[in-house]
Amino acid sequence: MNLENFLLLSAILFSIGLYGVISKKNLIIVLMGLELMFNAINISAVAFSRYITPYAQLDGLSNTFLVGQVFTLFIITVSAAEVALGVAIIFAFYRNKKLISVENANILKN
Amino acid sequence: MGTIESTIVVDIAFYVLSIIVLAGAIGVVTTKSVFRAGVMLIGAFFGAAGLFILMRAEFIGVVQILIYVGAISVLLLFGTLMTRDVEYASLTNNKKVPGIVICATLLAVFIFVIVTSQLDIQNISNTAGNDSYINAIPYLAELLMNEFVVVFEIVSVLLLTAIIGGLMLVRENRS
Repeated sequence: MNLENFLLLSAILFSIGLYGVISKKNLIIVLMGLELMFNAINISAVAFSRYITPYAQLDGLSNTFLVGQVFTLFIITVSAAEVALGVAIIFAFYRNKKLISVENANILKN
Repeated sequence: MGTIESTIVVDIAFYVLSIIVLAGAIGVVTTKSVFRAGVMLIGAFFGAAGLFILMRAEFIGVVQILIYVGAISVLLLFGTLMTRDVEYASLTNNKKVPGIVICATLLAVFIFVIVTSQLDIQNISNTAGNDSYINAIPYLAELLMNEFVVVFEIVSVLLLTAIIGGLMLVRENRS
């Protein structure tokens, strides 16, 4: 199993998530597409961490081999915060407009 | 391009998990029902957790299941409460064809770069076979508490701020 396989999977997943973000009407589905993109980035970060600095080189002295996994943890935390805020914004938007469609989110337009 | 594990079991596991992840993702963007999209998103998250465990990042896999499957998916499934016609609410807007064009172009660029770039990681290919199991979680904790402790604290404050901001946004105005 090569690094290329994981990177190709990550690229395809990122593109699918981007398609969902661009072309969906429902704001919840847009958030789901964002989560798919976050997952693609996590997969590629862990794959780089796994293949460039494998565990066989861990010798107790240099513990900087797991930086990719630490960054994945931070990405997961930030995406959790982003989803909490996103759902809160969608809920406030729903209370004002009674709809959660992207086309209705144009109150700053005029 | 170095190969770490090239047993047939790992290959089969990788392809099965990839199919699960990609099928879930395609289901999220193609189905018309919001609830089905959420359920397929949970499937994609489980597949990604399996991929993390396959890459010997067990802690990340467990965190993925706890946070994504346990918290984020449930939060997103609350969105079905706010949609009127759940079965046919996940429609595409008028940006469908530009979206497909943009994503296909980006994917072609990604694949071109990944296939043609010569990553210089040849030095790990000799560790194949004797890569015995190492519990990496103590190293992870040490890294998180020593070198990245400032980032850790900042992310904690960010999460707290996001929660308080979310509560402020959804609070009822009783004035």
